[in-house]
Amino acid sequence: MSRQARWLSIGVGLLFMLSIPLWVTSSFYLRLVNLSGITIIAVVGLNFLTGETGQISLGHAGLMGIGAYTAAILETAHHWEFWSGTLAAGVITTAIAIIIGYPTLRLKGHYLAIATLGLGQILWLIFSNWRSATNGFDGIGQIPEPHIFGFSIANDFAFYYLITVFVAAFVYLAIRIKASSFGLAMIAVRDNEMAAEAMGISATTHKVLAFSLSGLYAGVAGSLYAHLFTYISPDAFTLDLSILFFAMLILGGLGSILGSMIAAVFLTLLPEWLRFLDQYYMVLYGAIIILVIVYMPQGIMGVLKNWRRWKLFRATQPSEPLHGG
Amino acid sequence: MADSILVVERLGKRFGGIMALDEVSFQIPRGAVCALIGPNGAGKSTLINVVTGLYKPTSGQIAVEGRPLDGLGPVAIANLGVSRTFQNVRLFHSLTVLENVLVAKHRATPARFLGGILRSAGFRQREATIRAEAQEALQALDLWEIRGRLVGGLPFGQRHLVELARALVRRPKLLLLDEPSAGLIRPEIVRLMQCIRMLQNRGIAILLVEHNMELVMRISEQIVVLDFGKKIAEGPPEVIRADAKVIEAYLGRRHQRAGTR
Repeated sequence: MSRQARWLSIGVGLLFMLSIPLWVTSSFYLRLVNLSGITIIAVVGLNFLTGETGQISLGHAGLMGIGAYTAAILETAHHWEFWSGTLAAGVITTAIAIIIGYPTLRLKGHYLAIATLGLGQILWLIFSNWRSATNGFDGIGQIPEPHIFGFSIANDFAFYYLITVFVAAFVYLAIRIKASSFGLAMIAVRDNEMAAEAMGISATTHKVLAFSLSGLYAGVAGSLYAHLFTYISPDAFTLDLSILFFAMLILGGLGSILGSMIAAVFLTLLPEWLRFLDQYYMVLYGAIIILVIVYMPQGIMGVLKNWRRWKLFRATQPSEPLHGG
Repeated sequence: MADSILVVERLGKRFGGIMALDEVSFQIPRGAVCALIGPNGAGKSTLINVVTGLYKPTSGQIAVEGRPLDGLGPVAIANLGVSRTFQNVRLFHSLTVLENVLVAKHRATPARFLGGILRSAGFRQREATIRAEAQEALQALDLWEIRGRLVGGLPFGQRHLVELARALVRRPKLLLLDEPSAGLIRPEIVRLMQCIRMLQNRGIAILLVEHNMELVMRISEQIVVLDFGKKIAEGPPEVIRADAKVIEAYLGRRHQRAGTR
């Protein structure tokens, strides 16, 4: 792709992104679009840990819950602002991820998945039973709307642009980290831990780093979630959501940021497109996941890469003369 | 002592009832090539794994440049200037040849993390230096042309060389090679021999675990022979070649003549 074509496609993509709320007029669908954006942040965060570093976490929804509850409690009971509440959500979730990460990330393979599964359940129990802080199953309501530069972000239309800014910032950060030597080191730990350590790359350091980054993303996503719905309860942060995040990573292609984003949007919208199937929806959903794992083990991005390679192969066949550009 | 890069003193390693290493002592002078030979199960790989911190020794001492390695893990030992290759070639298979080498120069400090995100001037400068070093290492091993290829798709011989380049770029003082010729065909072994000489010319001391006797006899200055975890001989190639104990343990009694060329 030439430089101009690249900028043109970025420009068209940007215009398309910005125009979404203008033609998605159904407030229900706009809410889903906003939820997709929040999901992108959470899944791109989980990609550091599961995609790049190769550690399976089934407690990501719990971390998102920590962010949501932190922001909700600070802003309802202590009258913090959106920015400070979201910052606190990110910082506290990151800190908790580091504290939990040190002991659990020493576990190898499936044990980490089991430990984080337990972590998610423990957090859910805390959200449900620490009544004085979290209101138990009644949840926390009337979470104040964000005020930014005098604008109040009170509806899904305004929220869309707020979330877009967050998605852009956090995806950009993820791309930068992945492109740095830390991104390479995380992949090295995933590919061969023993060789990584022999090259002076500490597996524990990079796993904890990946876990804390995933915590930061989950915490911020949780805060945005709390503000979008203005109400949170423990049932928003169950194991189902953790598994959904994991499924999105698999579908997108482990390690791919763009793939994670596409899959996050797709799997957020899919239940609505399949609503006519009623309770049989889960059957089809499960079948799709199985087909993906069998026929496209590297997810959406794997398919795209193969397609590009195939095109390149076609282009270099002698029957089609190459035109110099 | 001071001019020894590696000092192994009465090293012991026990796995349950098996003494994999039993009171093994030897030294490698700075910049020398030392071969570690012995029949299968003699404890050669165990020794490499103890020196690089993968296993904790049961008894004895190891020192690199006079610094004892007591209690240090693999990462700390690697950062003292000890590098290694693996018996079954362990590369980062989803990275390219160049990335495999680049990542070996990674340092996990908070300043570098921020620098990498912000692409600070210091970061870009360091990145350029690291790239130049990686290019140098890859060119030295004739891998620069294939730098963009994923290592997973490379032929076995080239993967060996990528592993060497990855170890080389760390500018080690001591390089441990665990059966580098395993699985290589003859021209590749000749190439490997040249590479090891080139590494030695750069002042890198090499501890070589190897079964290919021709390779061992031609490139090493000093040979340590292990059998059942014990050192049974040590000396220059011509001495080892004639040592009756070595011939018996390593080559077997009936092959005495085959051992002397």
